Amino acid sequence: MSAAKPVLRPANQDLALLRSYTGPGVMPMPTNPLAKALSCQVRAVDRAAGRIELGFEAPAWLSGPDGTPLQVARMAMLDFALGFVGMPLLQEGQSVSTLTLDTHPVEDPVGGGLWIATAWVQAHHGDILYVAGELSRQGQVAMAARSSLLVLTLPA
Amino acid sequence: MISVKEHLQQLAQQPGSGPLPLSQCPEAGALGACLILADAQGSRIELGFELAEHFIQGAGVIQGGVLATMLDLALQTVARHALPPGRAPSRATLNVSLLRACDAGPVRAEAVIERAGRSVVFAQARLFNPQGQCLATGSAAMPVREQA
Repeated sequence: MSAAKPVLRPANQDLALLRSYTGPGVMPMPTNPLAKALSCQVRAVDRAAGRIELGFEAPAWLSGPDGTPLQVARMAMLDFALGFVGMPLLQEGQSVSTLTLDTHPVEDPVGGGLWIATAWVQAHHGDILYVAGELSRQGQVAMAARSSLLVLTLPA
Repeated sequence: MISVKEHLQQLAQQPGSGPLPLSQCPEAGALGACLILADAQGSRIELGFELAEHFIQGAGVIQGGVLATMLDLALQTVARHALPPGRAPSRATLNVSLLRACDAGPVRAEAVIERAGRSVVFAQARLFNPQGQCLATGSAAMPVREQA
């Protein structure tokens, strides 16, 4: 997700596609250039629990020589999950914008292939959503993060 | 290939010799990063970035995770500048605030040392658009390790 911008697109493709996911199964989510580059896919959405699981595969140009996604790709994967997890809670005409993002490394998994970003809603106070998430490969957590998101009402 | 530390030393000794592309670092290469400034005191650096449109997310602007990575790169670079040869920063925490939306194109980062101890380096960084508006701020605590 991104910092607040005064003029937002009237239609939120991410929200529309997430709402269309009925699961179980994997749904590709090529809604924007970065999600497309990272082969973003929705793997699970638990609306009641406020939890989402996304899958990613970094392309060669966003990976190191051993196939491990670069830091920018890993950070983007986690940020997508943190941004998307609150969307099922939104009403029609709303979107979210990231205010803060705090991250720390956990372990140092190496390699390419499928990386999983999981995020969950911790609290929802007024216009602010507090969310947390983890990025992992083959069950090994690489990075953890917390984020605060501002709920925005899109112009009609 | 010349190291980032050698680039920093070169800029600190010859302030007019930049910008220097940081092509030895894959992260920097993906973000189109170059070193613009490294002060003689080892406490401040500036990086330039050229962000391609493939880093755009759903709202049509650069994704927050990409901005966080640019801040991280600036923080790691200023810590490396502050440390003597043979010692390098690692990552412990990164705290980012996103102030404004960022469009594809040039972005400048400034990073300064808050405290460079023997075990941990603390630093702060900011990103600016070409209009001079601050886009994001970040701070980090970076444990120091011996470099192989």
